[in-house]
Amino acid sequence: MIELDGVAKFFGPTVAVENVSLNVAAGDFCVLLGPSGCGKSTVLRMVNAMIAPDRGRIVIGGVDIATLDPIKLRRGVGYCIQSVGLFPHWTVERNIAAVPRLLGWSRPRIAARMAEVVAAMQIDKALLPRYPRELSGGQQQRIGVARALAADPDIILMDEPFAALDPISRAALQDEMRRLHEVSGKTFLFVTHDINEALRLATRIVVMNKGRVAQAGTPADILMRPVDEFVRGFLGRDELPLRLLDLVEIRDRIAPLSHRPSTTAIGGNATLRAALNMMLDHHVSRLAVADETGRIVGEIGLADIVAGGAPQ
Amino acid sequence: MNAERLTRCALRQPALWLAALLAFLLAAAPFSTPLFALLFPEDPRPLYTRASFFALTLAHCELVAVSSLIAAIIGVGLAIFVTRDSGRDFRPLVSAVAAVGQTFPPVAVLALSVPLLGYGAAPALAALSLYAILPILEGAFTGLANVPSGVRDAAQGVGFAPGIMLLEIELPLALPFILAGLRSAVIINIGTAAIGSSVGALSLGSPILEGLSASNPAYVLQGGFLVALLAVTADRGFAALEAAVRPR
Ligand SMILES: Nc1ncnc2c1ncn2[C@@H]1O[C@H](COP(=O)(O)OP(=O)(O)O)[C@@H](O)[C@H]1O
Ligand SMILES: [Mg+2]
Repeated sequence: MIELDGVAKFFGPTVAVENVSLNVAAGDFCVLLGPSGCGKSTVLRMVNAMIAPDRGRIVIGGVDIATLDPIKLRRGVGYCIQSVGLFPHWTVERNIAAVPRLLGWSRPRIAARMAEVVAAMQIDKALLPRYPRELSGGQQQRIGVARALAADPDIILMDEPFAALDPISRAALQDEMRRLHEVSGKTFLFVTHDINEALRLATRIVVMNKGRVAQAGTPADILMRPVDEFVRGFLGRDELPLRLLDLVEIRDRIAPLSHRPSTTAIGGNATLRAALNMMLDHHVSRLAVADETGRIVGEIGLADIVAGGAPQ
Repeated sequence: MNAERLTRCALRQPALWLAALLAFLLAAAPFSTPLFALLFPEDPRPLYTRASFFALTLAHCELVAVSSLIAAIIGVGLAIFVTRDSGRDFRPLVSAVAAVGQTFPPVAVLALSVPLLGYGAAPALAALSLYAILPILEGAFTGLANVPSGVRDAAQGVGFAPGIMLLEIELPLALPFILAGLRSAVIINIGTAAIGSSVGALSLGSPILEGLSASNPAYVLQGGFLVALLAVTADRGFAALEAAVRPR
């Protein structure tokens, strides 16, 4: 869906992006992860044709974007940034409808799409006639995401959209993005410096360092086989084993029911981290495992968690 | 209901009352000889009659309106130009030239433009326009430069073409600042337009100048009072306009 081929960008003497090649498949939730200044935003802005690469090619849906009208390209791609950038002199409703209006959609079509987006993003209808400054940060970014989705783009670009939010709003919007990704099948290219956010959202992670791709792969790949010290350090060296527990579901480690089953049960689709948490909480070393219907189907012990082995 | 609220709103506007007062005074002026005879008993002709005060006020307003319009087009145009990528390098030059223009005394500009443009309204218009550019340029520049970078970035990123972004996002956000600049320009020009009479332009300065040269303080009072009233009315009018465009 989105391919970068040997892309580089220099700002005077600064090397912002150097020889980046990437392939984001349709339906991926691809997270660009890396410290501040490593070139993530520059990559995103190049994909949105806001910056032209100095070297290399960017291909979207089989077309080299250098051959496209950048304005048309941007109207067909969702774009959402940390500072939100809602238009302060327009109501929430008009903000969301910005791109459909630019595209010249008819009023009924805009109204119909608005209703869909407002429902999908769970926006309180009472907010629609308000102005952005009357909204909390979390509400504003919800509107920012809605504006990015309004023209129903196949690709959504997000640049640290939740970095400035309080943890509760951030978690809520992250959940929203997961759900949106699952139900819509859209392709996401999402920039963050927050490893937890990346693990929570990504189907693919691209770790960047100093303008280059340090490592690309599934979250499990990256957590289990960090290619170098930089990646290992960035993932949080000391917490790597704990983070891995996030990626494995209990049902993958389930053991047959023993003769003296634990009275504390947990769902098979919870993560190993949740199981460990519950063990610590209840001072037990074994938990019964239930399926979706609540039937006990097996158990999991501390040893099963610690024994490890690669998540699939 | 809504019309009622509108009326109530309008009645609270001082600009409206001031404009009504001005209209009343202009209508009553031809009949005010007894009043000024009372105030200036030694004066054989205490009311300026070379032209009607209505015609003088109209000419004065025309001078101010046309020169402010010219200045607005040039000032806002320059502000737009220096806030584009292509014009960014000209920013220091433009503000330096505009600042120098403002340090010229208006009388000097008038005197200099007479040989070029002759006597009459033309040199007055030139001087007034030149004079009004700086406050408008400053206001528009401040307004455009103050558009938050996140708003610009988002607008560009979701696909606003530069022209649409200017018209739909940047200028509306800069409007309060542009109006503030226009307001100072107009107020300055209402005062300065009176000097235009010294190069032969018809304005409320005509009775003032004649009153000064013929030692007739009644004429100075009549012209001066109307200039002041005009300035206050315009100021209140702009205050109302600024309140109307201020974001809710
Ligand atoms: N418009 C620009 N002009 C000059 N330098 C820039 C510009 N944009 C980014 N840079 C530089 O390029 C590098 C990468 O920036 P960026 O892509 O914003 O990083 P990130 O988003 O990962 O924090 C940084 O060193 C930054 O200072
Ligand atoms: Mg960035």
